[in-house]
Amino acid sequence: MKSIFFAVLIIATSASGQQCNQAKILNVRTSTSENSKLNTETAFIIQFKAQCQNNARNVPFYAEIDGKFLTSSADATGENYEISWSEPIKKARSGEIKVRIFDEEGYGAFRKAQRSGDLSSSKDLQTVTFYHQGSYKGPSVQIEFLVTVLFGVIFYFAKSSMNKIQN
Amino acid sequence: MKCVIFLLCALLANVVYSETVVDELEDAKLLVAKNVLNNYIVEGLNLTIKYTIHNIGSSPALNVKLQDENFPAEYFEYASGFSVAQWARIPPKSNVDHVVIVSPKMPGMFNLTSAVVTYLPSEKASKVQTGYSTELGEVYIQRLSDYNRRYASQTLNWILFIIIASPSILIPFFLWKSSTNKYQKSKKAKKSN
Repeated sequence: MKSIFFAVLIIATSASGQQCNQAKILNVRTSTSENSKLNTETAFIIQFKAQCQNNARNVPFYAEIDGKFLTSSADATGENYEISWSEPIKKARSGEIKVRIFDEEGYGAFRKAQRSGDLSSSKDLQTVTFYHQGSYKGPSVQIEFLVTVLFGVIFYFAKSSMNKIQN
Repeated sequence: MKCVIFLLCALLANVVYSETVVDELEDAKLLVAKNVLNNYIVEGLNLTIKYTIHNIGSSPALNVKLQDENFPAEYFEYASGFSVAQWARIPPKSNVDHVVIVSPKMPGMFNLTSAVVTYLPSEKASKVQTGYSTELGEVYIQRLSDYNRRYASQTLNWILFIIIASPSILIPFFLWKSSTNKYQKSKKAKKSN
């Protein structure tokens, strides 16, 4: 009897899709690709480490960004997670970007709350706010244009003085 | 004659119908697209790679593991993201993204090969399926100096140019200015006399 009970417990705990109890999110690191000349799309990456009470690894986390939902990926150890997405440069807006991270339970509750229209009760694990300063599109005025204008002014001044002297 | 045509049509319809029935996949099937989000690949600057995994089957894919050996440590440095990514479960008819930022250490020709994805196609499956991503072939990693010469802002170079060119403009200007001042002074002196 005991062995059957024990076997059932083992099977239950080794089932894939483990739940993460009381996840703690640490070491949040964000990076964005910021050069619009070099890149075709702007990429956003959020990396974090999650510690679960029951030491579960490779657990899905979900992120909500501007109404879009993304799933996290885990690395080989299963402890470090990454949420990443990319947007065309023209669409990627600069400024504050708020990302809400949910675990599976929280995500289910959030979707339910969304459907019922009552969003006040949904609680996320962590809200990551990072600032995207906008892609560098190059200088607003080309330096070559400025130099051309400068030498044009000098030339005009010299030519007009020359004409004054000759007349 | 009519009989033959009718039989041919029936055969064709049967073939077409059975093909459309077979199209519906029961198990999970993952297609992986590997995209380079860069216009140019330059040594020392970030190269952004996006992997998109689509599950076109009707079952969730389990224990998905995406591995990319394309960026070994002696030629590339991982600025962000992991070379091995795992998902416990990818639901049917959905997709997931994984973005990686690497930085090449050396210029030259480089071959961008496929990433490998392994997964279990259904909850009852025991045999692991392997899939390969799209590959991009050979690309050229430019030197940083070449890239800066062509595409970077040349402000410093122009300022240096103005500094170097200014003697050939300012020396005649000051000569002219001093001679006009002298001329105007002597003109005033003559007038007052």
